Amino acid sequence: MVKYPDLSNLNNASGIGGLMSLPNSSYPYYWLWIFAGIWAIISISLYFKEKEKTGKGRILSSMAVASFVMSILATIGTIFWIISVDILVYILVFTAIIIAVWFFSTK
Amino acid sequence: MTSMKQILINMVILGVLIFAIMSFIITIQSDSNLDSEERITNNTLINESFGDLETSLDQQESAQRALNASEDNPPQEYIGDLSVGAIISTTRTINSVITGLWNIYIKLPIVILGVSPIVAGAITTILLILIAIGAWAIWKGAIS
Repeated sequence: MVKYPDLSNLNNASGIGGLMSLPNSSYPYYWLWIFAGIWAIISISLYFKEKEKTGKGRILSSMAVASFVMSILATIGTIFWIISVDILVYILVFTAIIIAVWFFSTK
Repeated sequence: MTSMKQILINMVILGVLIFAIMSFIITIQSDSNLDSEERITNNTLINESFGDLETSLDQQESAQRALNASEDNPPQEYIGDLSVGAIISTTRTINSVITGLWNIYIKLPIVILGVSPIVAGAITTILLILIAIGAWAIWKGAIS
């Protein structure tokens, strides 16, 4: 169903891409959780930064900005084979829902 | 409560935004010479909506390609599954945009979440009926 790289593909010529895709051989969603963690960090830090500056933080716009960033990072991740097509579709669906909710809730 | 006009404007802008994100992903993947099975266009749902849209916007339709595209129905159809047919005209572009947006907003999350297709068909039916009632209510003046 899904073609994940495994240990048999790793050799001297694999390079950084091969090394980074090593966790996919045993647990396919490793990089998905890493990306979710990065998304949470970016959105929460943006929220508190905006709250510090303006006194009023908007969590939805912080989450939407983080979603944009994560969709771009996920695309770059597919080039290095750390993210497969199925995982990219999961990430796309989640980020598209966040962006759509943000778009329809702002005036 | 936002007005109807604002909702329509938001939907158009959001559609263009989603289309731009998808174009970015497809262009980056094709420029990096990924294998065809590692590209996002390999996913059937994305292929359905964006393949049709790209064909419509290409403006180089030969008769054979147009016939194939109009015959390209989803493999399985359920009650309430959105299956809209359009003849070869400007309606096809609008049809592709609308069904493409529906595929991404509603069908893709439903499929990803693993909801049974019958439930998805029931949700679609209720949604369409609500849209029809909403359009009537707007025309009648109950909602501005």
